[in-house]
Amino acid sequence: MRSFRNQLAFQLMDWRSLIIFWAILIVVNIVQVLDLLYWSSKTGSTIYSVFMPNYGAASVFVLVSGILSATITFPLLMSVGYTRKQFYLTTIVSGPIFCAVMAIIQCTIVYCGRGILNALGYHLETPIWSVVSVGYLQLAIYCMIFYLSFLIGSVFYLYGTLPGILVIAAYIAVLSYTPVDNKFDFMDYFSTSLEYNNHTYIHYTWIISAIVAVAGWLLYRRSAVRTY
Amino acid sequence: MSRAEHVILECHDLTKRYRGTEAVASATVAFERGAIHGLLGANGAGKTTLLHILSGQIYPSSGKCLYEGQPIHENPLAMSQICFVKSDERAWSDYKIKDLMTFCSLLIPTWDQSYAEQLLRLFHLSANKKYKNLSKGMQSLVGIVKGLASRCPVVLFDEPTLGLDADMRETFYDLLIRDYGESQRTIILSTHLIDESAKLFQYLTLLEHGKITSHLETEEFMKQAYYLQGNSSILERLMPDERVLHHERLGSTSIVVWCGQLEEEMSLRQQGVEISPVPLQKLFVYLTRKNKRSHGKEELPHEIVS
Repeated sequence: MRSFRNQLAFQLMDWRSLIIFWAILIVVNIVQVLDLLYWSSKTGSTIYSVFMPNYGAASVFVLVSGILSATITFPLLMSVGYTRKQFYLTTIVSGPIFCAVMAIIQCTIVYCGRGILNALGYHLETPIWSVVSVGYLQLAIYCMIFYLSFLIGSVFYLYGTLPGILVIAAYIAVLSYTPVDNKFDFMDYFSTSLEYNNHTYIHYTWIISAIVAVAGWLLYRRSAVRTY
Repeated sequence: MSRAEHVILECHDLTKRYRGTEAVASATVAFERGAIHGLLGANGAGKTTLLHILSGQIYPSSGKCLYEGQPIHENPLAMSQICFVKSDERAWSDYKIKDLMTFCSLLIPTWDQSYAEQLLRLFHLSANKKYKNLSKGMQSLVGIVKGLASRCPVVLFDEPTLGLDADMRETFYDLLIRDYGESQRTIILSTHLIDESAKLFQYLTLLEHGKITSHLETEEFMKQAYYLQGNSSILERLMPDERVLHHERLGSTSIVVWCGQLEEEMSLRQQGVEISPVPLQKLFVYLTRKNKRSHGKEELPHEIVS
């Protein structure tokens, strides 16, 4: 148990990069608010452009973290005498914890920001989703991104560049897949779920995450640390 | 002492194949507990691959690898007791030395943080420097800190002295001997600097083309080889013998390197032939070259080598 706690603590150790990332994002949001207040006539910015880029930036941060978990954390943990099972278990557990932290921070920024903007006289529409729902949606999406990018990183590390690129190509192909009629693809599913306050689509992300987690273990259970 | 008490790490018929090439081929060896082992072999002999398998970092293609009689791979107890110090830790590149020490203190149960700090001061390693910004020698020193401060019962060092100057190498050997004296850990060390490190090794394991060709006590290993220096006419008749590893002729005097039982020792001495031991590094070189000849591999011309 102590060993598991220590491993988890190790996985979640890199809080400095997290702080730097969110500090930069908050500064960007402040600049966006100032732009809105003083320069919107010139820049054309609207209330809806504030905070929105945070979601994309956070997604990229989660994506990079997933890749680094595979390419850096795996050999690092193996080099100090941990088994593949131990590494995988702590990654599967620490991933959602990390994603939850990202979701909570983003929700806090957005809802505090909304409060500040309302106080400044910008009356924003009441959101369709409650803060808990938004947080849950973010958690689900960030987890999916984490596990998918962890799988990409794993393939790159374990099998090399070409298989890694093929996995990315497969992801892009799936994202562009039109399963029902020609109106929706997977990206449309998520924006639709936001528009219609439909939680059902979130379940798809958990299913994808679970499938990817299982697939990842199949890769790792006999994997080799690079000898070069 | 029973075998189980005597042997801590062993492999049976271990093979590792990479795309048709056997990096390790049917290797069977038992490493004695509480001893310093030298793992010797030419470049590409399979030392690094063997150490990776012994530490559980890679799976063998076939065969088994045991720690205290139990399989090593995916055995948390076994893997936590084996510390593997690689020659090149790419996963450490972007971390500062102090971060690496923090990782080790968090993840290695037997980690001795105060000893690690003492070693960092001894090696003049700045804790705030990133691993990738260190020289090759300093990177080796960080690995040495990890290996010594881990206090693990088994430590595997893969070329730990790469890039180290002579002074630091001696310091490392002294630390290793002192550490061994205090803890009687099992240490397996692969190196190309054989003569320097020969004094450390109680056992030698020789690897050639992925095969374990020899595993003996160092003394026993060295006792099997001799320089025979004397009149060429006396020594010439020995040349066809397979036990001749190497010979040189300087006018009427010949030098023969003999490896194996020397039945005619008394007779040769009486004929004025000088018989002396072969330094370990030289012996290793001769064995390697003989092996290359028998595998039909090209060697440098003798004149260039001399």
